[in-house]
Amino acid sequence: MNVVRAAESLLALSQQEELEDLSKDDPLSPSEDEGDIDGERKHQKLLEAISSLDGKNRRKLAERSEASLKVSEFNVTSEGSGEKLVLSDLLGPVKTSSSLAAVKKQLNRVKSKKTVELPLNKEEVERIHREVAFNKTSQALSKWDPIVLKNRQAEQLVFPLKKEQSVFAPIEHVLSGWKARTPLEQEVFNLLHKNKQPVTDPLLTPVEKASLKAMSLEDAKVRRAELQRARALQSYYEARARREKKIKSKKYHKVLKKGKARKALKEFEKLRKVNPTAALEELEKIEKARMMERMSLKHQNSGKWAKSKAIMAKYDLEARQAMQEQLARNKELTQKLQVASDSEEEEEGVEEEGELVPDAVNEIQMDANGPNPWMLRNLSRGTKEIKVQDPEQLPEPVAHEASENEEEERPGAEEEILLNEFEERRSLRKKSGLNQDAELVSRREPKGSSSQEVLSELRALSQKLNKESQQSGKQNVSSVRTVLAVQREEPTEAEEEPLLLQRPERAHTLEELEELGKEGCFQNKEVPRPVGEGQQSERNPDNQPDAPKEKKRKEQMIDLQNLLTTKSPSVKSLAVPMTVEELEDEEERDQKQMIKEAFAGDDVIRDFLKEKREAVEASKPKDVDLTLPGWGEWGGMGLKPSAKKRRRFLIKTPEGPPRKDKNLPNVIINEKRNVHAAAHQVRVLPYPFTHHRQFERTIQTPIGSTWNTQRAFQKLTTPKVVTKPGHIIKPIKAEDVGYRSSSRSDLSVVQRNPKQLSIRHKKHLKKNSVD
Amino acid sequence: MKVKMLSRNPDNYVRETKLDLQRVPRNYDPTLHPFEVPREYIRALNATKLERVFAKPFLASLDGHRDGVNCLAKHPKSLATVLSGACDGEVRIWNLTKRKCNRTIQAHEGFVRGICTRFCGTSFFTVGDDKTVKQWKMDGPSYGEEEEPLHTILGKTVYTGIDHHWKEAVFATCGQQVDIWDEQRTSPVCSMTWGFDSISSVKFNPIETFLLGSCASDRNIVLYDMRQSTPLKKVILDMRTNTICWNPMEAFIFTAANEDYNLYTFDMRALDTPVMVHMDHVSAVLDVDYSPTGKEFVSASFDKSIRIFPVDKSRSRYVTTSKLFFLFDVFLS
Repeated sequence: MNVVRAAESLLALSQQEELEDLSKDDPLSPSEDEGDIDGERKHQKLLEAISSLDGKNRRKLAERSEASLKVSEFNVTSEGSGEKLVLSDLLGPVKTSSSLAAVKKQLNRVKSKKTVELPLNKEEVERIHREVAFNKTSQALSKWDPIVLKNRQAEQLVFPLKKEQSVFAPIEHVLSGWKARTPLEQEVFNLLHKNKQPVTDPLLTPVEKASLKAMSLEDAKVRRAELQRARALQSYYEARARREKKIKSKKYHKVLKKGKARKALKEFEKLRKVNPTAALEELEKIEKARMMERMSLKHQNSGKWAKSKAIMAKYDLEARQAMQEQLARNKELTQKLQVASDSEEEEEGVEEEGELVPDAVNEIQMDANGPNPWMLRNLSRGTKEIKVQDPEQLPEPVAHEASENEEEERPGAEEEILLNEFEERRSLRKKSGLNQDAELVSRREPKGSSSQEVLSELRALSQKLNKESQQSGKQNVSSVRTVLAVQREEPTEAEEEPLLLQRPERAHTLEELEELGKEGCFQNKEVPRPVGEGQQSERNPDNQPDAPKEKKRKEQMIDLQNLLTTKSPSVKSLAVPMTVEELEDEEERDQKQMIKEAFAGDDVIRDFLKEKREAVEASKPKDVDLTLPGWGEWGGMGLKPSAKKRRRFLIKTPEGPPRKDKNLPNVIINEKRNVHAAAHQVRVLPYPFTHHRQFERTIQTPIGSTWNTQRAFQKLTTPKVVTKPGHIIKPIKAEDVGYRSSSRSDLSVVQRNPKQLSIRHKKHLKKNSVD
Repeated sequence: MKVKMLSRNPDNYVRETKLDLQRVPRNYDPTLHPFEVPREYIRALNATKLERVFAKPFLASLDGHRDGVNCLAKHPKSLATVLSGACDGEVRIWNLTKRKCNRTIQAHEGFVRGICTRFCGTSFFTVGDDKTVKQWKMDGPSYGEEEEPLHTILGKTVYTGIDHHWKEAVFATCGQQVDIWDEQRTSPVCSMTWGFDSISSVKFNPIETFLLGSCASDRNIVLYDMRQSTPLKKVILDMRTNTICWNPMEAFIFTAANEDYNLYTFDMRALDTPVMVHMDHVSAVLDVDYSPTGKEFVSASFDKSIRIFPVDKSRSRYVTTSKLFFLFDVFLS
């Protein structure tokens, strides 16, 4: 159909053309050019028609055929130029017109602005979010650091950490759940009901409770008022005292003082009648004041004021009087009180005699703090004795006196006393378990202080003895007097005496020991050894490690190797009194006998020596014998390589270092690693220890109850974690340890910022649904 | 002459009440008690041996499940109650003191994948292979009532684990992503992902309750912040981690049970290196749980053994072996 129609149209066209051709030929036709153009168009149309003829679908609609390169006056086209339209091109023509300046400016501004960067991609944004969140969270978690550290280092943790507070239940609440069951209870219950006592109801009504509380408030008020009053009174008193202090009148003050003194005296008298003990205390105060006065030079005309007055005294009566007054005051103050006992009065007399040399006496009195019966008696001794003795040794005679007082006082008895003392000391030492060492008077033992002590003590005692005997003549009189004084003293004081005596004596003996120890150290050097060399021996193993030192000295008498086998004779110290020694010897002999009997036929020492010899042999490096019998010689049975050959092929191993126990006769040191022992040893130092010695020490200290007191044992074996059975241990909470936990709930925060997450979730759901 | 009298003060040997211990006078003189170290060593050795001899670690077995037990949960308020979920979808509640089953529920079709109790102990949640999350009351139904869950949430995917928040009505499930649910809603409040592998377990931090930890089958452990609803950090180990567990006394410490036979204790703030590697198991470690004191944890392994590790030691202090486990464990005072 199409084709037919096309053919028809073509036909019609051709007819038209013919017509036109006709007209073209006509002279009446328009200009040539026109005709030309016309022809062209026709040609074009024809072409079109033809082209549309052959292709069915290629029928193009009319196409605009404007010249593209040419810019027409009316049209703007970018086609074909291949250039972009730039803003400046547009602005070019605008330049001339001033009316468009504003627009131009705006455009310029737009041009100068930068473009916004592209947003980051999703992954990167998320990563940043994560990082920020992580930092924040880890910071928040760091607040737990101190608590975690504390709990880790805690000696003991008791769980549950938060102690449940015992709920305070008022009695009514407890009662409400209670019912009378037993007949007795019911009876009581009925009785209570009859009397209309509240049983299950609250015992106190709220009003009553309130009133109770109010009472306490009232109390508080009363107390406050009292305090206020006291404060006011104090301030008044202070003000008054200040006012009085400002008064310059001497007479006023004198009168005041006298009045005060009189009043005090009166009061004292009254007190003595009413309350003798309080009076005694008062007396003591006065005594103290006296002592203070004696100590100071306040009223002894030695002050600045007194000296100036002394110059004036010649001419001025008043000054002289003032000085005398001061002296009188001194006398008054230093005067002994009349209330004291008779014996003290006597002593006073002695004292007054001794005032010729008051300085020394005063010094001693200063030493004593408070009324000390010792000092008083000491003073009575007279000053000579004091001068003889060094200040260090001062307490010594006191100690003697102590013993003297207890025993009968005779100069001859002093030796006995000394002996007793010595015995006592030795018994003390026995208790401390050092007595065995003490018996040995060994000079070469620097650490055996106990033996030295004994020696030095003995020496000191002998010295003392001499001294005492020298002094006995002088002492006799005074000591007798003291005894008398003691006897005459009031019974109360006599009772106190032993108690009082004990303390200084003990302290004194300690001091003495120390002193004597010092003394003994240098005395030992000077004095020739009291014990013969042959008598030196080791009886107990404690002494034996000192053997090598001993060897270095030339004085050695006993052969080291035979040391174990030699018999140890008992040591005799010359200084020890014979009776005591005999006793000791007997005891020892008995003990030895017993030991001998118990271990009869058990020669431990020989066994040990044998063992040691074997150990030494075993540890010696062995020579290597490389001789081959028959090599380079005739072979056969029973042939022995010659001595020469043997010597030639014998490889001698070099001598190792000397054994460590070479000089220790009673020790075997095995330097090989013991596999059995190694099983119990640690390979590396456990954590908290920094040095192996620390670790060893802690391992060495026993923790069992056999070696420790119950308290210490419990402390050493406290478990690290203590839990209560049946209690739920909840995770640690911020509130428990004093931190403020966030008040906002975690969920609310989540709900507050659903943002992209809910969106994401939706997407996710969508995806799921698609899947 | 001083006379020393024998004096016995009854205060020294008579006890004040009958409840007091008898006073035994002892002499602590070290010379009377020699060889401290060897004696103590022997004593300690004997004590240890006797402890081994008389140890009875196995108390009882709770019989009743017809299929393997897949998960366990402990009751937050009652020490005697334990919940167990089996592979046939059955959940049982046990009384440990009586060693009896209190209640049996057919909770799911297929495995019970996860079980957790609410912090108050009134209800518990289970997730199963049937893509559901169910909330159950702890107490049984009253007479004539049907055994029904309080809530049932039908999910799009299978959930492999569940854990409940320690303070609030929020719980978290894991599967393809970590979802955080409000108990009152049927759709999750938020869900967090990092990577595309399935997540095998999720755990709330008991102290800083907004923190979560999860472990996925692409060998990583991921920590999440519930408040900021973002993942925080990821650590990738050599092999897959099966479970993690937070220390209940130290907020930033957690332990991961790994397939490479080891357990790794991490400080959350420094995940580059583990604080401690606990080794002793000879097969993949399946589960781990901390003691409430935070000083020890127990681990179960595919080598059919249970081990107890001190937190600061790399070697276990105790081990028991048995036939077969898949374990979540309970460890109370």
